[in-house]
Amino acid sequence: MSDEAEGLIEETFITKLGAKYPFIKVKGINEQYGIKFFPSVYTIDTNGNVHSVPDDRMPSEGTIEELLKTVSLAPKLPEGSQYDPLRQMWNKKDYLKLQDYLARMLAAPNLDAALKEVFETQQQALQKKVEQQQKRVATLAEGPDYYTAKEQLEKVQKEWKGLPPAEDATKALATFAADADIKKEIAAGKAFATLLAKYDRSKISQARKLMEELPKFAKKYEHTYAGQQAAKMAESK
Amino acid sequence: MIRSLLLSVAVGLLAGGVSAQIAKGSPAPAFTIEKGWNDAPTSFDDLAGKVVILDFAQTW
Repeated sequence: MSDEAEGLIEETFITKLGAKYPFIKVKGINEQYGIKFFPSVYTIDTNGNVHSVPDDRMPSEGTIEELLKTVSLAPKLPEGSQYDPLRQMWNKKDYLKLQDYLARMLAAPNLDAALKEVFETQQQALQKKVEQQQKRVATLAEGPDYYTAKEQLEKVQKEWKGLPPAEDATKALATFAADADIKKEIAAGKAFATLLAKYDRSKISQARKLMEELPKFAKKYEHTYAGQQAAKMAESK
Repeated sequence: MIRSLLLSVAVGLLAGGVSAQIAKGSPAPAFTIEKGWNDAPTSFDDLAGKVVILDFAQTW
């Protein structure tokens, strides 16, 4: 689709409605998925199969919880209880423990060839995940939304403790803390998040009040990313 | 890593004829992601092994 349409998506959903969840643009998707009305929701299970269709209307929280129970974070493993420790470590996101476990297993003398292959595949999967996270950290560290970046980096620090993504996140956060401009950006982002949280935009009277506040905010934080977002939002009414 | 993914798909106005809904239990057709926001996946394969909520939204 055109750039103009991308701009429309950004303006409507990201800026104006403030969607915080992942949003994608896919050309021709409503034809492909037989969409007849909006909003339409499909749920897809962990095997990639359709679990509920738009005619079922919005899936209930219960449905989603049921689906989530089937999720395994472990990359494909052969059947067998000998792999339960691995499954558990993946599911609990104990990545450091997982790394040590795999190294220990692979160092064992007389390791069975089939087991060796499984452990090596697991090690590669973990390494790939580490690299993906490092890439993500690098992108976050570049800004311009330093406030969101700070929140995400702090999560990476906890989740990847003892591993390269956490080290990268710590470095990035130290850079943020030492840079006056970035500190200003983070403060502005925090103030913007607070402002947005103050008003329930699904209620017209509150949405109006927010619209009155936005230009003031944009002026006060004129040269920051949050200020620019506020200005954009104010224009898009 | 997130366990589930709420994906909003912005749908263009151009796509015309109404085709049938995908049947329950059948594989979700793969699609090409042209652009993403908010830490969105970049390819259909990124969704493998996850619970995915596809929320179709319309801009008007």
